[in-house]
Amino acid sequence: MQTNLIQNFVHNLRTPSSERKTPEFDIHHELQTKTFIKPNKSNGYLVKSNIFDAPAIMAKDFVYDLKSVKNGFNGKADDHQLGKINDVGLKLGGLAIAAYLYTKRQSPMTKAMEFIGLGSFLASMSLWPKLAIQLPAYLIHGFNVQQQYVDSFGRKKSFFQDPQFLAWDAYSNEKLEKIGDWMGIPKDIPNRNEFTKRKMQKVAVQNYTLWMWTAGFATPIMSALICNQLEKPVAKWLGKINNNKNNQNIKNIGDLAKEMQDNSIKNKVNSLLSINQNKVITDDLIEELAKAITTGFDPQVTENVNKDLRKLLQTNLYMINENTLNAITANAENALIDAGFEKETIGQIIPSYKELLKSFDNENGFFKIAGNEEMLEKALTVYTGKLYEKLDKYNSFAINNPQSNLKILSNNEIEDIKRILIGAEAEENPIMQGLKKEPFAVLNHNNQKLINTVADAFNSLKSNISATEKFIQSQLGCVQETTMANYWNDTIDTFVHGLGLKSKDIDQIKNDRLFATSFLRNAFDDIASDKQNYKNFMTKLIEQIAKQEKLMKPGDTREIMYSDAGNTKLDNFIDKSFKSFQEKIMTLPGYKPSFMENTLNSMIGTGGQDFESRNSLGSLKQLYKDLAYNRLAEVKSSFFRIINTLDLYRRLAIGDPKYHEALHNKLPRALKEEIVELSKITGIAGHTADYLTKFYRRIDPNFDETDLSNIQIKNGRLIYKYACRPADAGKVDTPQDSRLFIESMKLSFENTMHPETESAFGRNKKLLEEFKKYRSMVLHDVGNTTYFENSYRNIKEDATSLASDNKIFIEIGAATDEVLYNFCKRSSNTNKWLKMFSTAGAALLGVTVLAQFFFGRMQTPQITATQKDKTHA
Amino acid sequence: MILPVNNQNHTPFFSAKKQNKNEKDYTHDTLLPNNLSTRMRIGMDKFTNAITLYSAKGFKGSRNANFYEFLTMGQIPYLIGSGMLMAVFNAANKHYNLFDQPSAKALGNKMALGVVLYALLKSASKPLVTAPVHWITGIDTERPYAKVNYELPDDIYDTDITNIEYHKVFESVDFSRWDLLLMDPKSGKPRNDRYDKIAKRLGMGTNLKDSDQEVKPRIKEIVEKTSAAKSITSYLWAAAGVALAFQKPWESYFNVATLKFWDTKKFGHSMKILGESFVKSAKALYKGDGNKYKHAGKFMIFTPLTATVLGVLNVMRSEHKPSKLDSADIIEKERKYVVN
Repeated sequence: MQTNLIQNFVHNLRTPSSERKTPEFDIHHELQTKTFIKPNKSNGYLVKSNIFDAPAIMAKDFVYDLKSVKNGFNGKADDHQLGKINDVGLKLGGLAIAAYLYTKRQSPMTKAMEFIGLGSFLASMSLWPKLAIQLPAYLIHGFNVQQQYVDSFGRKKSFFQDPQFLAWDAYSNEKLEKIGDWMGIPKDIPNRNEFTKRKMQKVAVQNYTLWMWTAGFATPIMSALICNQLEKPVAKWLGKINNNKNNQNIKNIGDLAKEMQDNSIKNKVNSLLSINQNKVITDDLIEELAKAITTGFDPQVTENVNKDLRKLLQTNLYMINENTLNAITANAENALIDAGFEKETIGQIIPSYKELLKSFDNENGFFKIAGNEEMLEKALTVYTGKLYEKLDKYNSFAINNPQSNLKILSNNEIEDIKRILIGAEAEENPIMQGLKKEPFAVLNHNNQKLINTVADAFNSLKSNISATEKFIQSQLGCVQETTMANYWNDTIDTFVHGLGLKSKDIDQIKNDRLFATSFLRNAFDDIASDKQNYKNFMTKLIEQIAKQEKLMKPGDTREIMYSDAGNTKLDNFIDKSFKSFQEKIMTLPGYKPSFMENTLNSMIGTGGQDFESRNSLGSLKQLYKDLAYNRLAEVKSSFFRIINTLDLYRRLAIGDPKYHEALHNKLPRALKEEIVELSKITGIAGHTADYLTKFYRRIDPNFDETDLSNIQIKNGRLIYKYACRPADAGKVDTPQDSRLFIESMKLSFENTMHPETESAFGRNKKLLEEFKKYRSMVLHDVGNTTYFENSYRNIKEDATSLASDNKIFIEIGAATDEVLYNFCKRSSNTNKWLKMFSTAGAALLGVTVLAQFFFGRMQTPQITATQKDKTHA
Repeated sequence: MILPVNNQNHTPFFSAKKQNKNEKDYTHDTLLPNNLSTRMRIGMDKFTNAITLYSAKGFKGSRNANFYEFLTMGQIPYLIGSGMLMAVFNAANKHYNLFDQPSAKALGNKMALGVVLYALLKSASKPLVTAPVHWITGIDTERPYAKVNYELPDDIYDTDITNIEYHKVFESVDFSRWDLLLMDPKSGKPRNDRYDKIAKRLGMGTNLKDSDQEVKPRIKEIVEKTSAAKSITSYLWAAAGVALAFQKPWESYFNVATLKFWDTKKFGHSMKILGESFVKSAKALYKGDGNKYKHAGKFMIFTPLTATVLGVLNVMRSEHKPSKLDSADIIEKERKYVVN
């Protein structure tokens, strides 16, 4: 039988396939139970993120936030997006606060911290629930209580934020099983996953509540602690930026000066000139011009410019006015009094103010008119005529009226009067001097040109000085976060760290500097008495001190400290700036050496006309040079002082006489001990004043002069036989005995440095050279000088130099105990704050984590006997 | 439990206990007036519940805890955080060195005042947007209502299964409570009276057949724009508050500040100085302190001000036009409809 293909085809077509796509689907059952009424399958899913996805997620969220803002302002946002706009507002407001506070801060560090503060606050808001809630909860309960999910509309939400509407679809049964296992939920209970869900919901609600109650405490503390911890790295980073900038600035300081050119001087002067052109130059105008020309300079410069302008702007014109008449009469009277004439007679013979006024004003028309020398000569002739007339009248009256008792003037006397008053040369002629009382100048074209030339010179100099000041201030300035300030802080940190300072020491020392002295005394003794300890400490300290060379390139400010000023970039620039200033002044029309003399002397130096021949001591030019040098020297001296004091301690600790030759055999042991004690203490605590007064120290005046034995050392410490006795009675100051001071200075600064100290410098040979210079300089300037504040102290050594207080101050540097005291005061505040809030933060974290062990406690459903049987079956 | 969608006219009675009508203020969702006393009452209710009832429910992990309670508890970190922020800058001051204390105190006081002014200006600035919108459009975006919420009993003895939540009609733009704006028939006013007025105010015409349908999209748009403007500007005003707190003249107030109101003389004096310091500080903020950022203060004042004005103007701008509905599509109020 053949197969009927068509029938087969029809048969197959009519017979539905027994293979059904959804074999379990029973339409009758579904209709009966209505279970087919189900929500659509959710497209939502749980967000799985790790730290590597964070940047991409952040970028995506940022775009979504921007879109939300756009939709919000177009009225097309949904609830989720409106919520996001609130977050954007929060960040925007935070940024506005940080930006405003940024403008109120002075230093780059404090400015940066405003933004870091905002960032840390926002980060803390997000980090606290992650670290203190989410992580422990995950470890305890096995699920993320801050789980996020993306709903079917693609909106990212917190899964447990609304416990009444939880999108459980996003959790697979397997995941719920695992969570149930972690939670220790018995596997054989009915509806186990439902119980797991209920437990998860409970834990989530409890954790959310815990979050709400702890976030307020935690966020500010956490934010502040983050800022505290970031301060140092940020300071280091900003310091590096600042330092690079400084190095660039000094390299291109000319360009920096051009950038800082502001023409404010020129503008101010031009404004004054345009208002006052062709007007009389008054005292007030000169004062105003001087102020405008010296904008940004110190008042001393203004005063000198004021003086110089008065001379510079005078012409040969003079005004005869009330002042002139008063001056003429006063000068004539004084001249005749000096010549021995009686005051009564003088009053009768010289023309009075009224007579002169009548004569100059009504008769000759000189009054209140500006005129040249010719007019003055005419006025003198008029005066002469008037004088002669009065002399004649006087003598005639005196002769004709003897009863008047007027003295008759002899011919000689009359001639003398004429000679004194009108016969003398113009410079000595009292009448001519009076007539020249009111020089009269007009702000004409020539005078304007003179003023403009001076203003131009100052304008150029100002930009150069501004660039110099900017560089000095930014690199060496006595403010926070300069290269120097950072270098100082780093070095002091290294020093203090090496001392092994503990929290309790800081608490004690911050109360009184004397605690710092005592602490350092013991710490130095400890360090110096152990070779390895000494080596480690000194090597680290010197390495840190040597970093200065890397921070401030040699040649920028000073090649080698304590040497004469070299050709540093800064010095050269300052010289060039002031030279250019002088050259500009010399281009004044009709220049004479007397032009702007006071100004040039005070700004560049005295003693010559050429730039090079001027002695710059005390000048403005030298002030700028010294400003940089002194700042660096003060800091370096303070550090070298620490090295030197430690070296002294080390030399004394090993007890080898070749390192303390100052304690020679001729000195009684009692004095040796006093010298050692004095040197040790002044090395740590001596102030400039102590060195100036050659140390005030009370000792026993009746010590045993016969005991010339050596000092005794035990375990690196001196065993005192005479000094440092507890009883202070009987001790006096001994101003006549210079040995205490002289030998102490020699012991500290002259005796051979210990080789271990020298070797601690390692490859820093230049620093070693500077240190040696420092020692010899202090010995020379401070240890062997005629200058002393306390005049009764008798220093008879061959004094050679006269060091100023300022020089001594720079050489001595800061007292080490004061450095430590200040460090402790500063650290104490931070430590107190840190202790208070880190303790609070740690306690809060502990309570938050601990609380979570008590969360999620629920009674597990009981398994009935039937259920048990089913399970076992 | 399936709750009625609209319980406006229902008083469900789930409790085994005989219900006392005076027990709760509201028996159904009720629109409340937006006035100071209501706002104060709601604020106080939310605050006390947040720190007591909702927190207790939260710590117990109650199955009735909900999103509203979670949001209401959001006040707690704000308040504690504000106090803590003040403490961070002030608590350790007394332990500092004597010479450091004055500067630490000055900064700490400014920080504390900054926190206070931040909160004050943030909440006080919101009406700067919502009030003009209300005046101009007639839409009160802040209109509160009391929602009666039904909970699952904790156990068989738990008879109190209702609680009151305070929401705003337009709290959710996706699920606004439009129904609450319909007039109660007992009032004698047309059912769409509120919508009619809004339509008239918005220039959409009067005597609209279905003003509610006409104005809803426009209201939604206005609510969204207002909400967006309010969110952004309130934080900008808050920032201006912090900037104001950082002015030097406040220091004269800090020197005499006291909260001991029973010492009337000192307290009165401190209040007087507070007023003076406020005026001087505002001027100082405006004028700046002469450095290169002297206009920063003006920026802090004019930015939120401009943003507020622009925000309100933006609300007025709309691309929504009244829809041209066919009369057959308009639901007639008198007719009854059956929804299949």
